[in-house]
Amino acid sequence: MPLLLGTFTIGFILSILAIGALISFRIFNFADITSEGSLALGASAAAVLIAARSFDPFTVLLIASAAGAAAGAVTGVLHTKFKINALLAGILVMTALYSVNLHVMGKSNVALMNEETVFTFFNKCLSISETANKTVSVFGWPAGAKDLSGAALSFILALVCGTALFWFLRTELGSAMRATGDNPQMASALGVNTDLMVIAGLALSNALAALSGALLASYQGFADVQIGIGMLVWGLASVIIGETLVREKSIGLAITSAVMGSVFFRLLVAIALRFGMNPNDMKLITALFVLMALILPSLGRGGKFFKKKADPKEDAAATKPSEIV
Amino acid sequence: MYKRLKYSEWLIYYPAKLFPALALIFAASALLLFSSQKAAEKAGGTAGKFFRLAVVAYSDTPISEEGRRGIKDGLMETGMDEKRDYEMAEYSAHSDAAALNGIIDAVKNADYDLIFTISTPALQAALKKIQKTPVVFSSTGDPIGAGAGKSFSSHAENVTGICSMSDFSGMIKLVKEISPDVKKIGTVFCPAEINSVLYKDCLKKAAEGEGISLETVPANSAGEVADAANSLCEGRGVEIICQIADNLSAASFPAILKAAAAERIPVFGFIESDAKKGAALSYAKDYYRGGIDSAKLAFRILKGEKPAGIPFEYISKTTLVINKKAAETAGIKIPKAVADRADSFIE
Repeated sequence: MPLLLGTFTIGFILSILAIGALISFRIFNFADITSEGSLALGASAAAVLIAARSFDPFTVLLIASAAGAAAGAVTGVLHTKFKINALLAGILVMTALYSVNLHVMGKSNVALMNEETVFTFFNKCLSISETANKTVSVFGWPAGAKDLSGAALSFILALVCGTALFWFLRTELGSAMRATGDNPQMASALGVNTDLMVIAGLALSNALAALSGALLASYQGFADVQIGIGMLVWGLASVIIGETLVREKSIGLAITSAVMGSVFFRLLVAIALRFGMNPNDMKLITALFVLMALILPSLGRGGKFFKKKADPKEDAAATKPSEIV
Repeated sequence: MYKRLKYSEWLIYYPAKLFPALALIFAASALLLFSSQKAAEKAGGTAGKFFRLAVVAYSDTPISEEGRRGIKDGLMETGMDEKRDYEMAEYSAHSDAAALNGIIDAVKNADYDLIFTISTPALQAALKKIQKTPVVFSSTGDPIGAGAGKSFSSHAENVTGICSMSDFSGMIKLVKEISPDVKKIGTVFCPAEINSVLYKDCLKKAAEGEGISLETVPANSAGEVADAANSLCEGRGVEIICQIADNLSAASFPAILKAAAAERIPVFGFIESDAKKGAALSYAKDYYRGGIDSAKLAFRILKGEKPAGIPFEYISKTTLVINKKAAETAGIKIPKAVADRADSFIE
């Protein structure tokens, strides 16, 4: 049970990153690599602020997200004002953030033992003691109260972020942002400041990545400058896994599916860990699991694999580039 | 393109869309839950003196592999027999911080009797989550900085282990003996590794105590090590490279050797295998030995001692290995007094 709850916690925390990746990847149609840097930025900023003990834990999260937003805005400015290829702009900012993160922390790794984080704060609200290992029964399974509250808090935070984004993308500003991603010429013809939209969108996306990093650092009790490496890849994987499972592109479902994709992916990693015989094979097994999970549903839908000629209508729908419209 | 739905249709439409994903998540959760339940039952069922041990490593580097090998051999040296007395599961996070948390959860879940951690992040993740099961760390340069305790003797109750800090003053003494008028030594370090920065500072302190200055060049990824080494060797007046031990330089050590060879600068290493690879000498608290030492601490704990009462220790032995050919090529003579102390030679 602790394994399952831990997996859900990490899944929900990283789903916030996945939601952020959804904005850059699905609205603006490019993978914003800045996120790897801003995730680590969020983690380092949060760790330093928590260790300084001068802010309450939720303010720390806000400051960390603001730092991420600033990083995203820099990428946006590089891309729109200086006409640098979006991928390259992301790579440049991510590279620069590495040094920034080292400066923020002053060293490469900050430990947070017995400091007040959102997780301990939440435990305090529910009057769960940090030291006593109280267990509660969940459908007959014994579960640690702390583990349970951690999973619940990360679920709530993912829910809040998802709902807020859902709401935002349906406002006038959000619609303008989506229009910019779909058809910049059309959007600017309608009077939308497209540059501003790209900058704001990337800022939002990276704020979410940084928030995810800050939560990860709070949860695992340390921030490391290398914490972001490889995270975006898995964030994108979560987005795509979610899409494959849900197969619907409306905003609400896209956000929900990104969260589900992230949780599902982390579950697969946990299962690979649980059964992984040789530690060297872990990533291979994880990759195979993901592959299996993606193939199985399509086999289930009437063996599309073996049909020679698919329904042209359905085929067109399937091959159409996925957009959130 | 929104599908305009009536509110009554929502209730059917959205759940239907989300059903496959929910079902998969549910199935995966159930699989995980039942399988881990089985593991816990199995753990409870084994009676008496059979121990279940776990090794958790953060990354796959030569340092961490040496440590793992040391733990295995060390357990054998204590007279325990794998299969008869214990079984050991090995986990590696492949440098993925999120997976590291998963591993710690999995390990906690499976009720091991004792957990070895290799490297600082692995120790930190374990510190946060594991309060009861004894944790024995190794390949950790600065356990105090990592948050394992206030001092070597007053530390977290369930944690003890082996601190892998190198013997810097010993190395500087060697440098002095071999070439007494050396003024400047150098090293490549990795700002991202907390141990690397710590070691760099310790080496600097030890060197400055003997009137030697230390030149350092940072490298952040394997690709940058060659450039950093070239920059270190050229035009800075570095007479000897004393390469500190960190994950990055351990993996890219040949690049440093190559750069040094081009300028005929001797390389001294802090990892035992450095000399084998072509360094003039290595003066190593070697990580293999650290693994053995941590296995011995683990043995004491398994025999009933409380980890709280066992202070952290340094790696017990420093090994001096001299590579005669490399020393000759780099143009240095090893004095007899040093050669006599060597544990082994590479011809």
